[in-house]
Amino acid sequence: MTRYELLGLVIGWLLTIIIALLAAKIVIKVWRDEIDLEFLISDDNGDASLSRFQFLVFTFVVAMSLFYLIVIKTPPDYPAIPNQILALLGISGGSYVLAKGITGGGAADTSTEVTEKKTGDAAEVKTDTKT
Amino acid sequence: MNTLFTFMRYEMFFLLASLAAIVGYRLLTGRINTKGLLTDKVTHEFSPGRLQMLIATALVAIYFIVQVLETEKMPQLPQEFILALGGSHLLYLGGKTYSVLVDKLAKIAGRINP
Repeated sequence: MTRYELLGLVIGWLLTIIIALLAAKIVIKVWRDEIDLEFLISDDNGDASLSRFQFLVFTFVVAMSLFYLIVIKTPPDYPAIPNQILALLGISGGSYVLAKGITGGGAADTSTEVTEKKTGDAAEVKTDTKT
Repeated sequence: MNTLFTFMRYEMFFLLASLAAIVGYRLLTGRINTKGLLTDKVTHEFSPGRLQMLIATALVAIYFIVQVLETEKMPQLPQEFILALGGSHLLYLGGKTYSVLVDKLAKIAGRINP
């Protein structure tokens, strides 16, 4: 084994151990509820969001497929990713952003109403104080 | 080097499998909030558009997994699948836009004729 191969091996082990420790810490924190997943697929109002759910499903499906395809080869090899897969994730992500934009417009309208209501209340209080 | 590869495989498997198991278990037991997943956010009624998108998502995910296991490479999804999924999303977003617009118009009408 040359010096460079040894260096590569040491760096590989170091990175693997660091990632293993991080992964273990994340899983333990999630398991103990220190990382709260209750609103993982919920939007700002607390309702479950279908676009977030879809994003979650596709993320797991693509990640697990990638993992499977990498480990079945010896030596492990990263597979080519067809454009359709990118389109699939793009549609899902784009829909999530658009849905958020549409709902955000509605939320902005509601917040304007709340502000108007608050301003109205304040004006009423001022009038009462004067009288 | 082989030991490193084996260790990496187990490490990634442990991370993915445990995260998927935790998320799946919590989704099924209701510890991850799924309230309102199939209801319209504005009208608060059952939304067929959401149901069809949920079904389309499940079908694409199952097709994807089956193709990966059969061909042992990243699947070439048929163009029709992408179009169907895009159409499904358009339908969902159209329904969402419609309900938000209707709600806004109703509020404006309420302001004009209180």
